Amino acid sequence: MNEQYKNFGDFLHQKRLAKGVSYRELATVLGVSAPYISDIEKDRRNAPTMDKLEKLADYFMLSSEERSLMFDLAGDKKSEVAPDIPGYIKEHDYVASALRTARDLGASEKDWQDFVDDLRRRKG
Amino acid sequence: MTIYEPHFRRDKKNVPILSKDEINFFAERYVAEFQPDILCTPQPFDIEGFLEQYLKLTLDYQYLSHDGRYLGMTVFSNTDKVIVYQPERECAEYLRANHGTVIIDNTLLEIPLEHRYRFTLGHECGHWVFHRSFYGYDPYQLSLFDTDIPYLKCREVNACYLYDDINGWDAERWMEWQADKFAAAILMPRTCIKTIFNSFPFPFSSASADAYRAVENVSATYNVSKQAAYLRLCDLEIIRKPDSALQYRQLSFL
Repeated sequence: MNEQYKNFGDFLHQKRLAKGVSYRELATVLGVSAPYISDIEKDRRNAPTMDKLEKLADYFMLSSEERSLMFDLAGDKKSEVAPDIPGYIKEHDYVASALRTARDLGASEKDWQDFVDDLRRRKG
Repeated sequence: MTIYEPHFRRDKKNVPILSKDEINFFAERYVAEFQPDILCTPQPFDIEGFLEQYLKLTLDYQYLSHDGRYLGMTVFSNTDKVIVYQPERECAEYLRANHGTVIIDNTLLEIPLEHRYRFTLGHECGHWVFHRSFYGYDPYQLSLFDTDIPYLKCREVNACYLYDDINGWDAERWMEWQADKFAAAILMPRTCIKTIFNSFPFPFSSASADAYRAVENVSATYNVSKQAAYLRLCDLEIIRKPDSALQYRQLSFL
């Protein structure tokens, strides 16, 4: 999925070392234990919950691209969609409806790209 | 960054032959490379950073026994045979670990044990620096024989080894001593400690108020236990070593 990071644990490991913080320091920031972080980094445990992912994004000062990548990797680990997405769908009924329509009509990657480009032109 | 590789003698069995002086020298080279500030401004050594960022070792946390008897472990070759304890299931199980992994017992993460945690990290770094060749470190080989145990589990060492008869020590005991001396030397670099006490009329007598103050100072400055500070100050001849193990045990301030 991503060439730079093997999985979410690897992403967390690289970000933590790049910032030069220890397991214990990061554990204090997130309000968890050092072994919990170690387990995640070694891919023995799922990514943490959404609130902790948000904390991580702020703590590591991630760009919006890295933030999205982190969420994707976190979702990947659980074989789920990125954890920042379900909340958005739930809050906006029309999104779920639009997704179903896209699915039923067999929307391709290009269709989606056209839609996103159009959205960017109008909103961006 | 190139990792500094100390050169030292070995005996016929590949066991390093190291004097205290050599260990102090090597440790200070590492300190100068990784955290040179400490040599000018007294401060705790970042032992976790040294292990992960400088030596490029992998740090992990597990229960190494059911009763906390093992404090740390260094894994020298890839293995899937590291035995760890699972308290939830009250059983032992195998864990996979790669060469260059240091595993610290979870019990050391309790806040009152931070000094022991830091010393154990220093001790395991010492094993990696001096002993990985003895223990057959080979990153490309899983294990030569099924019976090989490619890791070293370390218990707490009783400080009264100061009074042991070293003639009876085997190779493993000497390597434990070397790892302990390395931990002390990297957490409390010789030059820094000597600088602090240069203007004092040391050696202080073993149970004196001066010795007590020196221990308090070193313990607070370098984030080490009073016991580690005391032994280090004895080693550096800033405090006179107590005459016997009994006298050592009777020191009220440790």
